[in-house]
Amino acid sequence: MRMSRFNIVSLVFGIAFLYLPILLVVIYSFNASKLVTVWGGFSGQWYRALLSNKPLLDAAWVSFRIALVSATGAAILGTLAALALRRYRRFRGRGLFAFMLYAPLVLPEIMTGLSLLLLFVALGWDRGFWTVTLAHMAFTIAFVALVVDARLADLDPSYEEAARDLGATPLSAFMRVTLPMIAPAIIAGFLLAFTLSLDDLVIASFTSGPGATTLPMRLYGQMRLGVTPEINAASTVMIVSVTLIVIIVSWLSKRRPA
Amino acid sequence: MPLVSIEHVSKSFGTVRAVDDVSLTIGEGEFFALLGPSGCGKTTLMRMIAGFGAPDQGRILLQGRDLAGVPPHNRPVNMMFQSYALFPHLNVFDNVAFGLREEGVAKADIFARVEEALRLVQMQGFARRKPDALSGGQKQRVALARAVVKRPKLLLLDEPLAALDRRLREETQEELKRLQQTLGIAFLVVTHDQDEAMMMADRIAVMEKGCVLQIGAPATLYEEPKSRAVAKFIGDANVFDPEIRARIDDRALVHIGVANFEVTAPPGAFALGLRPEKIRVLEQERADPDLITLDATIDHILYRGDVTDLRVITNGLPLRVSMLNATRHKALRLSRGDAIRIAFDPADVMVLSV
Amino acid sequence: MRARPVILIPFIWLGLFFLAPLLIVVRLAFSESAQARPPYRPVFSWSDGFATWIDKIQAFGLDNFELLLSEPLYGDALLSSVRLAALGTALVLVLAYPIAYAIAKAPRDKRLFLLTLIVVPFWTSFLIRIYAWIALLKPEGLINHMLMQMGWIRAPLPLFGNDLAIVIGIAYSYLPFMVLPLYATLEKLDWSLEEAARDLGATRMRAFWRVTFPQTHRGIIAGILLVFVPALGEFIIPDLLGGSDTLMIGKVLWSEFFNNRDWPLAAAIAVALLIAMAVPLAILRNVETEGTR
Repeated sequence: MRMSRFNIVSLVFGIAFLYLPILLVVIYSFNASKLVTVWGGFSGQWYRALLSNKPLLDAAWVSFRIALVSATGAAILGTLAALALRRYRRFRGRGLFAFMLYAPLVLPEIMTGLSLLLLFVALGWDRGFWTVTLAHMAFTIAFVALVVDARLADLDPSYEEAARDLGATPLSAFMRVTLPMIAPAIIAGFLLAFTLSLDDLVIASFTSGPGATTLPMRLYGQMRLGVTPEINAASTVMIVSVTLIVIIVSWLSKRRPA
Repeated sequence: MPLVSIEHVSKSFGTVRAVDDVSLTIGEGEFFALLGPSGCGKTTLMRMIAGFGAPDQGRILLQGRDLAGVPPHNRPVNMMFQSYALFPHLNVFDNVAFGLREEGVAKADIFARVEEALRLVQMQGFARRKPDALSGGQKQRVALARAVVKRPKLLLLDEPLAALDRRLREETQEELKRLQQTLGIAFLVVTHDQDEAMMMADRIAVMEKGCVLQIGAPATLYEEPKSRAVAKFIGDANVFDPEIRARIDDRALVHIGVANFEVTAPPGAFALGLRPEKIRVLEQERADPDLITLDATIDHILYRGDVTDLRVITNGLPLRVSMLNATRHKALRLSRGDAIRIAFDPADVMVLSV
Repeated sequence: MRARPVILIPFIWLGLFFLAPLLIVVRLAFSESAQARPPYRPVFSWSDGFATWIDKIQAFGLDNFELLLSEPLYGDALLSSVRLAALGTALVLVLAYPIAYAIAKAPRDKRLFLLTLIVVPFWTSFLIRIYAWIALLKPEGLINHMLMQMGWIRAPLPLFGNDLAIVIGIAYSYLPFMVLPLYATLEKLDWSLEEAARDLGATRMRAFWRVTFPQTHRGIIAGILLVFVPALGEFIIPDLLGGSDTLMIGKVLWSEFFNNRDWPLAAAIAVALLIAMAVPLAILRNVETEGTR
C-alpha cells in the first residue's frame, strides 16, 4: 500500500514537532556561546562545567538511588498486583483493589504528592530519601502492573498447567515457567518506573526533605532563573540515558516468547 | 482391577452441567477415546483426571486409590496439551527433562531417559532447539516425549492431532497407536474426530451434553449403536421412525416407505437405522428373495472416487445410498433422474432407542 | 482456600499509600487552618473522645470551601484551567488525528516503528521537554529570532508567558496520549467501508467525514479525556511557560501549599479538583464499558 502525500506530510510534521525541540536542547548544549539563540561554535565546556557542579551531581546521585530502589519495589509490588487481578477473578474488594491500583494513572501528580506528604506528616515520618522513594513507588506501581498484566493476559494458562502436570508444585511452576515467561515485561515495567521516578518533579517536591533534593528539583530551580547551556547539557545527559533505556525496553519486548 | 474407574462423576460450571453422572473404566494398557462434539464435557472430564478441577459429585479412582484432594503434581498421570504447551524459554532437552527434574531424578539418569524419550519419537537431533524453531509435527513429538518420559500410568492426550494438517494427522495416528503398544501405557485421547477415535482406540466413549451415550469397541459402536444419536454421530446412517404394524413379544412388524419387515425390538418406541453402504444398487441381477427390493429415483449424485454417494427417493422417502465403485464404469452409467432398483437385508437394519 | 499473600500484600500497600492519603486530604480539607507546623489542626483527633466528635461534626468546617467560593481567585483559576485544558486538548486532537490516521494507513510492518517514534519523546523528561519550549518561545527565543532575521516581523511576537504558550505546552506534552487511542480505533477500522463510500460516488474528503470519522468517536472521546484530565491539574506547564498572571488550579494549589503554607486550603483545592475530574472520568468509564460489550 502506498501512502498518500497528505499522510506523509502529517507524519513528517508530527515527528518534527515532537523531536525538533528536544534536538535543539541537545544541539545548544554544545554551543560555545552562553546565549541560547546564537551559535558560537562547538564546545564541550558545559559538560565540563557539569562535572564540577557538585550540587547538581549530588542531586543526580540522589535521583539515581531513589529511582533504583523505588523501581525495584514497584516492580515487585506491581507484579504481585497484576498477578492478583489476573489469577483471582473473584475476591472481596477486587473492585476497590483495581480502582486503587490504576487510579494514580489519571490522578494529577500534584494530588498524589500532596496526599502522600500529608500521610507522612500524619505518620510522623521525617521527610527525605525514604519518603520520596515510597512516594515514587506509590505512583509507579500502576505502570508496572499495566505492563505485566498485558503480558499475563496473553499467556496461555496451559504452560503453568503443563508444569503442574509434570510434577511441579504451584510455587515451582510459577518460578520455573511463569516467571521466566513474564520476566521481560517485569523488566520493562521496572525500567518504566525507573524513568518515571528519575523524571518526577512534583511528587518529589512535596515529599522530599533536607538532603534529598532530586535532579529534577535542582534543574527546576535553575530553569526558573532562565535558559542556560549548562541545563541543556544536563538535559542532554538525561535524554541520552533515557533513550538507551527505551532501546533496551523495545528490544526486550520484541523478544517476548511466543 | 481397572486402571481408572470413574464413578458417577458430575461437574457444573455455573448453571451448565459440563459432566453429568459419567461412569466408565479404563483398563491397563488400553487405548481409550472420549469422543464428542466440542462442549460435550470430554475435556472437562479429562482435566479432572489430571487434577485440574475437582468433581462436584462422584469419584475418580486410579488403581483403586481415590484421587480426590491429590494435586496435579502428585498424580501419576501426564497430559499432552492441545496447544502442546512447550515452554518457550526452554530448549527441547530441558522441556523433556522438566518433569524428571521436579521429581529429583539423578543427572545422569535424566540425560539417559530424555535421550531415550527423544529417540522414541525420532527427535534425537533436536535436543538443543527452542520450540519456536520446530514445525508443528515436531512440536507434537516433543510434547509427546515430555509426557511419556515420566512413565505415567495413564497418558492423557487432549486433541493430540487437531493442530496438524491432514496428511500428517493420518501418519501420526498410526505412530501413536504403535507407540502406545510399545510403551504399554494406557492412553486416554479426547477428540471430536470420529475417524481418529475409530482408527486408534480399543474402546470409545461417545459423549454428548455431559453424558456418556455409549461405550464400546469401534466396530460395536458402528454396527450396533444403541441410540439414534450414536448412529448419526458415528458414520452416516439413514434413520427412520417406523410405523409399527404388529407386535408379538419382542418381534415387531414394521413399515417404512413401501416395505414391510420384521425386527427384534424391546418394548416401547424405537427408531430404525440403516447404513448407506448396506443398501445395494441392483443392476440386471435378480435380487436374493431374502432381500427387500425397492424402486427408487436418483435425486443427486456425489461422486467421491472410491464410492459414489447417492441421494435417492423411494416412494417419497429420501435415502442415502453408498455405492462402491468396484468396476471402472459403474458410476458413469448413473445420472440424475434415473430409475434404479435398490435392495437391503432386514438383518442389517439397526434398532435404535429414540 | 488460603489467604493469599499475592492479594494481601499489594492490597495493604494500596490501602496505606493510596486510600489513606486520599482520605487524609479530604479530612484536612474540612479542618481549620493554622500557621503551626504541620500547619493544620485536624477536626478529629483520637484524644478527643466520642462526645466532642459529635460536636465537631455539627460544626464541621466548611470554612475552606466557603473561602474557595467567596474568593473569585479560585473560581477563576478553576474556570481558567478548564478553558486552557480544553483549548490544549482541542489542539492535540487536531494535531494527533492526521498522525494517527497516517500511521493506521502505513504499511503494516512500519506501523509499530512509527508508533514507537511517536511515543519515545514521552519517555524523555517532561521537565526537559517543557524547558525546550522556553528556549523556542521566549521573546529572544529561537522562533522570534528566526522570524526577525528573515524580516517577517520587527518586534518579537508574544509567544511566551501567556495562555498561548500553555496551550502549546499541553499540545506538545500530551500528543502521544491522543495518538494512541485514535490509532487503536483507526487500526481496527474496515477500510473497505471507505472504499465502498468512494465507489458510491463520495469524494475522498466526503468519504472520510461521512464514513471513517464517525466510526472513531470512541477513540476521540478516550483521547480527549486522557489529555483533558491530567492537563486540568497541570503544574509544570503553567509554571514554566505561563506568565505571572496565569491562573491554573494546579499552580494555585502549589502556591497555597508552598508559599502561603495553608495546607487545609490546598487540600480543599485538591478536593475541588477531584470533583472536577470525576465528571470526565465517569464519562470515560462509560465509554470503556460500552467498548467491552
